Amino acid sequence: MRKQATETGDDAALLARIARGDRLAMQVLFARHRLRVFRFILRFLRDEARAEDALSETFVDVWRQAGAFEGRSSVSTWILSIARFKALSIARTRREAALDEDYAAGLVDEADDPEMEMAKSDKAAVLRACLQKLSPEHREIVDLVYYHEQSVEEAAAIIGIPPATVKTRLFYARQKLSEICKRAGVDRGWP
Amino acid sequence: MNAQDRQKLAELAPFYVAGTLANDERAGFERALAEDPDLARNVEAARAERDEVIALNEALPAPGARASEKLFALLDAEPARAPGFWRRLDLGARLAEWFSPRALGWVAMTACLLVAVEAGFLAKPSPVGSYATASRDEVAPVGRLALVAFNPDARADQIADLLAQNGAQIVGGPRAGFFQVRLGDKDMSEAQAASKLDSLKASGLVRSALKKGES
Repeated sequence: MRKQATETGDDAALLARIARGDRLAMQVLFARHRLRVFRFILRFLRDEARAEDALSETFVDVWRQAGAFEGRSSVSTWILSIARFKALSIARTRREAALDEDYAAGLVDEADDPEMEMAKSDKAAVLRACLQKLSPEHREIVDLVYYHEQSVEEAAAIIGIPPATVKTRLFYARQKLSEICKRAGVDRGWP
Repeated sequence: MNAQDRQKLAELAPFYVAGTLANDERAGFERALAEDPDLARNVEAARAERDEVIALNEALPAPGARASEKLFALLDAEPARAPGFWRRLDLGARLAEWFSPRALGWVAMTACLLVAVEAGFLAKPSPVGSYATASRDEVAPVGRLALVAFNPDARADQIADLLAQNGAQIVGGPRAGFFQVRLGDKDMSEAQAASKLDSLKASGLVRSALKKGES
């Protein structure tokens, strides 16, 4: 799963072709990244149709800005930064329009729910259920590091915070996770 | 090791588990890990988190075809690229392309083909008893023509198969990376030629293909 150096190099070469207007290169880059970027966006928007729109718009920005990519980060980090900005803009517009049910559902409720009650018999299932009770900010950093395999510096670039904050934010997210698990009857053995 | 050092190491555990630490940082982390049972428990907890985070994300849906359709519809509406002179020239990429082993191989192969065809023609009298040069078609090929650039990693045998399957032939080039390809004779309709061109493009072996005369 770890990003390979060749993949990163290929992505940079694809971007160079996209900057020259090569649509085939765009198709390849889209095919390579669409799944992970879509899932990243879906976490913010919790609506598949809106997430698909945000995904398309993210890659339109990739098309437009390909010539400005300077290789200071990996291509996947750069695309995730664009996707995050796009998803937050859409989410913000929706919140300003109305504090709707979807947004209310995003507010953290740490109380046990039926899913958690059922999960108590399985430690892994408890952990999975508890992860879903983390705040959006904590869940984002956890996803970026474990699922999207972003380094400290890459996660910092995507979220727009200092690298030291990435480390402490993830540390506190994990501590919070342990607290939630403990309340659900599971001691993770750390911290 | 003081409390501050322990805290720094504890914060690195998820990145160690995700494999995103730099080599020197990883080596230092592993040295500490071998001696610190608390750090080992931290790493075990991080591994369990990683597994469940991946499982949760993998359970999320994939984007539908609508996202791709919308993207390429939006790109259709984008203004055409108007690169500057130097970017259009792209000297570095062009030189690398022209002098790559594959490009040189193509040049050599084309030269060999021309010599072979020329030799065959010279040895074969024409029906009316006079001789024609083998390069006649090279100079002014007739029929439905296209300019085709193959992917750098396309092998010669794959290209030969592709052309044979589509009844197409290389009749000129390469020039600036493009071969002149005859798709069919001049009786071939526009639609048939376009369909054949699409078939070449869909093969995965072709980097770019244009009807001759297109910009």
